[in-house]
Amino acid sequence: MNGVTAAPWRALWFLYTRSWRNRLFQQLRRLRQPRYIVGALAVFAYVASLVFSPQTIATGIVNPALVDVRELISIIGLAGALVAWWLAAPSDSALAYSPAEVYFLFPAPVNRRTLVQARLLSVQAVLLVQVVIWTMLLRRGSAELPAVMRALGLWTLFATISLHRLGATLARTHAPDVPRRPPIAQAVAVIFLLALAAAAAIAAPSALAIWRGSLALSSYDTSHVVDRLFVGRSALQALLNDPAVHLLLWPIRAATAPAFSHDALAWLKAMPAAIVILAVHYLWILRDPQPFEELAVGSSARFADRVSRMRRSGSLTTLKPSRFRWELSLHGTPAGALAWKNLTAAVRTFRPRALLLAIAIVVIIALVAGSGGGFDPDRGAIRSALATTFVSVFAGAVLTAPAWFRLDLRHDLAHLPFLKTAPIPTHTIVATEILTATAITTAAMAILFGAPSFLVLRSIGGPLTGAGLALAIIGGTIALGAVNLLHITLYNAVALWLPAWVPLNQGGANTGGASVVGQVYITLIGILATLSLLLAGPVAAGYGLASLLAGTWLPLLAALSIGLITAVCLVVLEWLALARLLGRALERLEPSDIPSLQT
Amino acid sequence: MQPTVDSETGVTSPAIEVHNFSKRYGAVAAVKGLTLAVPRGEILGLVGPNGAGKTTTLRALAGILRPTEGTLRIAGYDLAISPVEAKRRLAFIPDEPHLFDYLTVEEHLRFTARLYGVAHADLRIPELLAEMELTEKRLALPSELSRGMKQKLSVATALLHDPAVLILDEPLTGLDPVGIRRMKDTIRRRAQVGTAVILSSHLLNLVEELCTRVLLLNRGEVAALGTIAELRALRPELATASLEDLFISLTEESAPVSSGT
Repeated sequence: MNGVTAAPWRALWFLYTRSWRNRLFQQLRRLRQPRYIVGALAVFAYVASLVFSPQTIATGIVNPALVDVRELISIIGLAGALVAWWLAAPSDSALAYSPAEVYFLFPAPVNRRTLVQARLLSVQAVLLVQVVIWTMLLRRGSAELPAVMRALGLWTLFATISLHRLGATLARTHAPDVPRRPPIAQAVAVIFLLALAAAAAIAAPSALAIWRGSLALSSYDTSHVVDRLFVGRSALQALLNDPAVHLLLWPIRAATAPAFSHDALAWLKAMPAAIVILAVHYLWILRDPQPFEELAVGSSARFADRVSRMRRSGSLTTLKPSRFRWELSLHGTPAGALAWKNLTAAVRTFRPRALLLAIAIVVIIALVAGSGGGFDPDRGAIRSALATTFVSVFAGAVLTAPAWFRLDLRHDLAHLPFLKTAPIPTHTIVATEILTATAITTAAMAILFGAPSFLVLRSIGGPLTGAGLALAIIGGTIALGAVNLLHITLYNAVALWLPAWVPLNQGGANTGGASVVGQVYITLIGILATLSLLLAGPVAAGYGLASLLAGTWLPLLAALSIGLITAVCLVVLEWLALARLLGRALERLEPSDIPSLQT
Repeated sequence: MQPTVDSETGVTSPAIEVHNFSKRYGAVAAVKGLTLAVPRGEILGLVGPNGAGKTTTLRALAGILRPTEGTLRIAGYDLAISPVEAKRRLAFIPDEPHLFDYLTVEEHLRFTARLYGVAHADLRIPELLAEMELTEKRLALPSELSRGMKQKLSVATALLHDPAVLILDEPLTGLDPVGIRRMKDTIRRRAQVGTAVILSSHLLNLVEELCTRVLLLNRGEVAALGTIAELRALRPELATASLEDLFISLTEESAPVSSGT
């Protein structure tokens, strides 16, 4: 008998510990490169600011309210997760082995139990990273519990969650040619969830009574909004403390308790129960006789496909056969074909439900902001609060949309050989890619925010009425387009000049790690800073001109329009210069410059 | 300067001209001083061990890589001076088909037709779909195609604009026996109508069967160039040996002798 069948655990231990060690060494080695050391320093500075901030430094002061809220959220979150794992469609990712694991371990002379153990072992690296992050985050306001104890509590909780999810997936899936076993585990879970729902329904009236009490608060000033949140928390806590609900939630409470303990004594009391729950889960998974290899192969392939798609396009969307068709004319400029390709991709990855939901939320916010909502006597405060929320959402979209919408060179550099062999000048390729992305991003933002902006502006009143209001919306859209143009150009510039800094068709062993996260932050900050610099000149010129003209016989709207047009023209001039430079950069770019294309 | 163009075919002769081409990656020289010419209608096989510089040479000829030194001409157009004109006349088929996730089979062809300004594309596209047995899959996205079908689509997009120069990197990867036969026929037919073909492959029987001449690269340098008969003449003692033995022998002969051996 050879050593592998005699001691498969040793082989698994070797596989995962070596893999983690090699990955760590690889990430340390690459710190010799300036871009990685800079990224790592950025992350280190950020983490240090979290750990050593005055709020976090161990002061001995515990904020039990904060700790209670965290525990409350985690209990509700876990109850919700149980509903999803046992009642919604089974997840692919719980059974998703890596392609290498499938090809090496599944045909190997190891039993099913070893394969399950391999899965459990392989998730440990991710769990440990999560434990470190959450230990740091949870130090805020609850510094009495030593970090090691907090980490152990968190690991127990995360490992239990991971095991439960795997168990739910195993219990709910079966290979097509294997007779389905009596779904005992599923029945137990469903009965548990139904009992929990019934107990919560019975306890709900008393919790609602607490909440109704808060309605006596007559004003919506900020302090009362906070008061209401606290009353809501109390109502929820009352619901969870109902004897029946409390009893049913005991396993969840027991599993979460060590992670959220106030102090060492509470942790010591809570830990044994959490360990017992973890051990029960472990035995449950290992004793489950369900053959899962065939399902795991399918799950792994689907999961790998989704990950690969996400790395290529930044989207987890799965393309479906029913598709939009917009026939490309066979006659016209080659650049038109590129624009058509990107528009088609945008439409095919577009999910109407997501946009409709976003529009609905923004419109409701704007409607309430515009009309006062009609459900409170003091409408001014809530209106201004919602108007502020709307402006914040809009500003957030302006700042982040170009980072999220990536159907430009960030997507197409994965097809660099195609771009380089296409018979089109490189500056035309760059310009077309950026213009198409700008048009799509601006149109999506105009659709999402256009009508709501109209409602908010109308409610504010003032000098803008009728045609002025319409002009403001049109001018705003043009200005937004100009900002998006430069913003998207800068992202493409980073993709061309520093291809290793922008996630393109990422893959292979050279990705991930703290230094890469740091690179992403630095890129984001750098792009926003450069964008501000590039916009400063045109904005100053446009504003100056508008101010000058406003003092003459010209109407204010005309002066503002001329100022806006001037600013936009200057932005376009800056963009043309950048597009030329980027064209040259694309000409020089080679597959070897992009780490993910070197395979 | 405009190239000398054949009035009938619109193609200069030779179709591919490489003069003193070198490519370095930092301190590493991938190709050193390569000079060669491929006339119209010739199929040149590019062979050599891993790391010999085959893919670098093909990628440079396709305009993907910029030479560190030397000139590359496609149908008379210098890739450095007139890249767009040169690229209009060439097609590159990589070993791994890189298709756009969001375009269907037919849309890939329409997209390519527009990109290259193909005349009568509305007639040519159905022909190519039928030739590659992709008609039934014309509305399928790449994710719905097998590896072989993707390769066929890649070939169809390459042939759509009737290139004067066809560059293939390991063209038989992933194809089934019928696909291999069709690919060989396609390459032969293209050569018969005057296309200059340059292909790299580790399959020596393919090279022997298809290629009129063979270029053996080793460590970025030319180890041998000529017809199979000419290469055999270089090693008379291997006259009856297999092609594999001949190439291994020629490769070893050209390798620099390390100290102590």
